[in-house]
Amino acid sequence: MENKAPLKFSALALAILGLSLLQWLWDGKVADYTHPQLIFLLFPVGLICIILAQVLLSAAGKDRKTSSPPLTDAGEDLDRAPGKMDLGLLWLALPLVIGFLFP
Amino acid sequence: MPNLSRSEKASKWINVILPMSLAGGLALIGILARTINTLGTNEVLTAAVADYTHRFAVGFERIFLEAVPFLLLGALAASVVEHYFSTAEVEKIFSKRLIPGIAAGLLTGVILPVGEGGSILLARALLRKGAALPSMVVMMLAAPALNVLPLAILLGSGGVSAVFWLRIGIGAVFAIIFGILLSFENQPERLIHGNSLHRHGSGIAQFKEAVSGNNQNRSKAVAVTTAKEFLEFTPYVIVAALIAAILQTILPVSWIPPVQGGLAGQIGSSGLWALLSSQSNLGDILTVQNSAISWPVVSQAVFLTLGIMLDAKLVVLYLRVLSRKAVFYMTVLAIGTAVLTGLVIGIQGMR
Repeated sequence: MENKAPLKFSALALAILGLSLLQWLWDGKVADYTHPQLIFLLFPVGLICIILAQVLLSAAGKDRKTSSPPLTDAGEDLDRAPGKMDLGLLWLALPLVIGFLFP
Repeated sequence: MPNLSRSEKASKWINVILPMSLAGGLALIGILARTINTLGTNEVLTAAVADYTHRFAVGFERIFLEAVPFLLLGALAASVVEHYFSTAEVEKIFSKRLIPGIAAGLLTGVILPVGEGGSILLARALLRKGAALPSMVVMMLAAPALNVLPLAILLGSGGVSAVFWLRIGIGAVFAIIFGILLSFENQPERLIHGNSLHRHGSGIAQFKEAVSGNNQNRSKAVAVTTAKEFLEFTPYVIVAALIAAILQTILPVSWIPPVQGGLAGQIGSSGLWALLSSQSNLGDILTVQNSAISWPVVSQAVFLTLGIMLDAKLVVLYLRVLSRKAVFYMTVLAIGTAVLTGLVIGIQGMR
């Protein structure tokens, strides 16, 4: 049985990132961090992150229900050079911790 | 508990233990800083804590928030290349012949709104599909300087100085020269990161064949690949932002430009700040434009030219596509170009 946890975890990470960006836009926190002229770029980013999270979730569900070709690019992962390590999604916690907890 | 191999242990340490420890440590620092700010009775300590934590948070989040939109655009472009373009089409457009290849790379850097960072994701997708290395290097390096999206935002934000046009010219020339230099390599695959090498009959190609003719499935696959590419590269931006923000925080305030001293001081401080602040190509210009203190022309020139060619975040991202050797040569050439630009402008100004 194929493990769908990484896909669902990716969806969760994207959803949290998207919602955090929208929250920072809503309360004006991004104005502390970046130039006012660039703030508008973050609104579509927040929305797209949430949409992508939804697509990942539905892809995970679809892969489980049907025998259609997987949407998770499993084959692509096999193409990776052996021994090359990618950084994990837990690194995404850092901008959230800094953004929410630092004064 | 099963015995983990050495690589599994290293992977667990890098992917779980280190980020969780850093997140926990940063959370503690953040809570402590807030407590001192609220309850602190020693004014000097309270002010110092507030200053350092704010500098760190702004340094980190600025790099992250300015990179994220362009990473997402780059991930989308890379995903479209992956699912909608065949190897033959990519090889034809980004030809191994020098001049057509470089022209195609330059044009792609101008018209595709991927900007800084995003162009690296796109370059990797194209390299995997068989694009020529010089063409991709030109595209990656020219996009921050020439891309139409940042240009439109900047031109609409209230005018730009002569130094802005100078940096566009230097950025384009630097991209072309570096592309030409790499074209002399007989085995270009030696200069490409293992993950970016062209592979025949890849899994994704088989997948593409299986879903061809079903547009809804393919659109969904584009979205999934976009998310995957974005989530693969974003942690690297976070690591680079963390290192750069720590260095920014411990850097003496007197070293932060605009330094009004001699030529060496101006070149050194603005060059170092361009590397550490790691702002987007738009952020660089806006930093100079929005500054309360006027920047000397030499500082502007060095900061703006080096800013589009190289910074801490870009070095980390370039290492995902190119070999260490290629990134090292690029770093040396970029710093040399920026210093030379500063020297020429400074010496001209003294006459």
